[in-house]
Order: sequence, then C-alpha cells, then structure tokens
Amino acid sequence: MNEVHWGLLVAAYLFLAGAGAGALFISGCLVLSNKIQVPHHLDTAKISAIVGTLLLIIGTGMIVFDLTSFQYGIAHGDMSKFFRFYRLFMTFEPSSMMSIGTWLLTLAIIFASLFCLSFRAKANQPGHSRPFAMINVILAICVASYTALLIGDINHNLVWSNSILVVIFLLSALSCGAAVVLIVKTRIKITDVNHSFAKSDSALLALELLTVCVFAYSIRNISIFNGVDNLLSLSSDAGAIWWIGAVLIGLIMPLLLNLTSIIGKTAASHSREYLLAVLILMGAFCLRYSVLLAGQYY
Amino acid sequence: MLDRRRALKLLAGGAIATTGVMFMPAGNAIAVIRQQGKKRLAMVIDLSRCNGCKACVVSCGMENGTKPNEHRTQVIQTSAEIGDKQYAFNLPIMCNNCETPSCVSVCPTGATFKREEDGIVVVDSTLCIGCNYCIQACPYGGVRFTNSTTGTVDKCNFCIQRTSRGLLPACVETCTGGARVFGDINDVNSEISKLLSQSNPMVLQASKQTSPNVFYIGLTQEESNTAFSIHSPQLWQR
Ligand code: SF4
Ligand code: SF4
Ligand code: SF4
Repeated sequence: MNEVHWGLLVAAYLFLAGAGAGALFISGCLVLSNKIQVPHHLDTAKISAIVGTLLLIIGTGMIVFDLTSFQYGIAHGDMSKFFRFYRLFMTFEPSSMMSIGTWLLTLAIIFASLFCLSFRAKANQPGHSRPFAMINVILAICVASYTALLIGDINHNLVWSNSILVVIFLLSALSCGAAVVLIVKTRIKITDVNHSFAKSDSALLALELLTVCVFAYSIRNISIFNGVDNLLSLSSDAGAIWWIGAVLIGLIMPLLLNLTSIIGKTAASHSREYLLAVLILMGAFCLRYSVLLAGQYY
Repeated sequence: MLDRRRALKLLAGGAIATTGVMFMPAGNAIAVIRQQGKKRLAMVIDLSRCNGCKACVVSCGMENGTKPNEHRTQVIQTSAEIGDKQYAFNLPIMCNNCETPSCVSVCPTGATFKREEDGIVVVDSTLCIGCNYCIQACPYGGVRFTNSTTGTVDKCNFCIQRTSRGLLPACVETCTGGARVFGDINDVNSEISKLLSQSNPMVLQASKQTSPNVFYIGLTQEESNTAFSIHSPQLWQR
C-alpha cells in the first residue's frame, strides 16, 4: 500500500544540505568572532568552509539524481530528459517551496564559493572574509530551515507538517556542522584540551534529544487521533531507523562519549573524536530518512 | 508561458472575486453553487451502479497508453460497516481534478496547472522534471504516478484529448453499469447537474480542503472520511 517516492536520495539531499549549512555556519561564526586570528582556528574555518561548500554541491546533486526525468534520461540515453532539470532554473514559482529552495541553494553555493575564495585571496588579511561570513551565516540558517520547510509545506501530512521539525532540523544541521568541523580538526590535529567543544556539543545534543522526544510523542498522539498505527513505532521501518539510528546512534551514544571525556577530564583522542563525529553524522542521516519514510504512510 | 500562466491566474482570481464562493461544503456532502459563464467539468460516480467490472480501468489504459500496472483510475474492492452489519462495495478512484488542488502550488516548474477554460488539472509532460513533489502534496494516495513511458508524472486529466472535442472520457463511454456521468456542472441543463441536484453527492475526504470535482452517489459519511488509495488492497480477491 505504501509507495515511497522520496527515499535514500532525498534523505541524502536533506542531510548533506543540512550538514553543509552547519559547517558553513560554524566557519562563518569563527570568522565573525575574530577567532581566526589564531592560526589553527583560521585553518579550521577555511577547511570547514570548503567542505561545507562541497557538501552543499553534492547534496544538490542528490536531488537531481532523484528526478524521475533524470533517471529516465540515463536509462534510455535520452539527453532531453537527462538535462530536463534545467527547467527548475527557467522559472521562479513563489508558491513552491522546491522552487524557492532551488534558488536559495544556488545563492548559497555561489556565496559559499566566494567565502572559500575570500580565504585564498586575502590569506594575509583574514578580516576581508567578514562580509562573506555574514552572508553565509544567514544563508546557512535559511538552507537548514528550508530542508524542513520543503516537507513541512505538505500541510495535510501527519508527520511532515509538524512545526517542531524545523527546530529539529536546525539543531541537527548545527550538530552535523560541528561534527564536520571536528573531523576537520582531527585531520589537522588540533586537540580540544579544555573540553569546550565537548561541552557545547553535549548541550546541543541534549537539546536535540529533548526536541526529538517531544516530536516522537506528538507523532504518537497524532497517530492515535487519526486512527492509524503509531507512525514512529519501533516495529515499523521508519520507527526502527528513528529509534536505533537517529536516537540511539546519533544522539545517545555521542552524548555518552562526550560526557565520559568531560567527567574523566581527559582530552578525547583523535580516534574517539572521529568516532563521535561519524556517529552524529550517521544519526542525522537516519533522522531525515526515517522522517521521510514515516511521512509516506498512505 | 509563465506570463500567460500568471495572466490566467489573475483572471481567475478576478472571476472568483466577482462571482463569489462556488461550493458550500456541509460535512462531506456538497451543495453546488454555480458560477455563470464558465465551464466546470466534473464526474459523478453512482456507486449503486458500479458492478466492479473494471472496464473503465482497461479503457482508460488503452485510451491513454499507460502500462498495465500504471493506472489513472482503479476500482478498489473494499468493505464498510453500518451498525453490526458489514458489506462490500466497489469504489472507483481517480484524480479529483480539484477546484483548489494542493498539487498545483507546489510544482517548481509550473508543469502542473489548472486549465482556466474548464478547470481540469493537467500535467505538461514537456515541463515536468519528475521531482514527485506534487505526488507528496496530493492527499489522495496513488492518483498521481510516474508514467514509465515518459519518466514524468501522470494522472487522470478527464481525457482532455477527447473532452476538448466534445467526446466523453473513455471510462465514461465504456462503463458497463452507467455509473460514471460526466459534464459541465455550471450548465444547469446538463445531465450531471440534474443528477447532482436530485441526489446527495459526497466527495472523498472533504476535510483535505481541495474541493474535488469527482462526486459520489451512495457514499456514506464514514466512507467519505476514509483515506482510500488507488493501491488499497482488493479485499475479496486475496
Ligand atoms: S486529486 Fe490530488 S492530484 Fe488530483 S487535482 Fe486534487 S490534489 Fe491534485
Ligand atoms: S513531478 Fe512534475 S508536475 Fe509534479 S511537482 Fe514535480 S515538476 Fe511539477
Ligand atoms: S477520464 Fe480519462 S483519464 Fe480519467 S480515468 Fe477516465 S479514462 Fe482515465
């Protein structure tokens, strides 16, 4: 009975756009707060901006791969269908969240690329990146919210129309951004000696856990009210991915890893930080995938 | 194309503003208020006449060239209860070509739009990119689908290739029980208008606020509230 029209590729789109926006947001904040006067923060900001931009571009590619006209073009060698996605750029439909998102992502990719270039052109005067940092921070918030609004616009949908999803996707994008930055830090071998990252990340994960539980509770109530099985019950595919992937792997395990290093007052090893970041990213992907599946119940 | 579309939308807005509301929903039952000087094509399906032969499903596929497992219309076999009695019935399902369709506003390319001249909701397959946003936006499960011959979205369009030339839709022409009646509900003398005024027509899921143009005779309030889908299981063929 259930037909899944939006699956892994759309989940990847929402996830990569969120993670890219998160990384660009943190990079922009590092520039705006003048932390980039410290060389290793400058490196972190620069590499995070590049990775964030690449994630935005790859994420946008995922939505193109998901278009049935594109898939048809590949399967039948039909170039007119293969390139049909250009139609997205031939019009602006203000009533369509997807059309708004197309132009928003295009703008975000352009300004993120300029932000990256500003590091390169003004390596000796990092302050020149500030205007681009400001624009990127704003666009990052818009892109992260848009990933929730795209599905939230389907207002008859019992799962997707839940407004708290915007908050969840924003928090998740931020923690994904932090995970990307953490991976960047482990690559350039910066150690978090005073646990500042672990502490702020824990606060973020705890807040996300709270909102995620509120969401699951409201979906349970909405399901009962509408006479359908709990759309996030553990026995369903969506529910299993939600509880095991998004909540356990993506939130509880990273939270425990952070807390043990704060309580033990030991700087987390790079391999441990790497694991933490990977768990957060896996969880964020599962979160979006399970929400997509749960919303395609009819 | 865009300019023409915008102009049509503006014209439509003006027309509605001057002639007032067109429908007054009372529960799921519909009281029709006619809008003069404008066509509004619709279909009435009398469930007491539908024998479940599926001639409409076959003729629709032949007329519109869809693959055997891709349907613009389907007759689902389902059951309902009144008091302690359970009974079975056939329910033909298709796109409702709604008055306020939720599939149109979400389309990012303008491929899906409502025709000003007759109210039919169409998909321009030369503009559709297959993003499936309209499929998600439609509350009526399965009435929009991906046509594997074009790689784009497809749906019932009241057989515009026939009805634009004054012919009946294929499914209406073939219906063995005479259950499907098609016509302009803004024309008081049409067969469909007379049928609507003599019966108590219902629409599926009126709560979704899309004002369907496919009406049912013989549907109970409870059935009309049920979220049937084109893919609902065929109860007595299991
Ligand atoms: S039934 Fe669905 S697809 Fe058809 S016009 Fe209404 S909202 Fe659009
Ligand atoms: S699938 Fe086609 S008709 Fe539907 S919203 Fe996308 S572009 Fe528009
Ligand atoms: S009106 Fe035409 S397209 Fe629609 S269900 Fe009938 S035969 Fe199919």
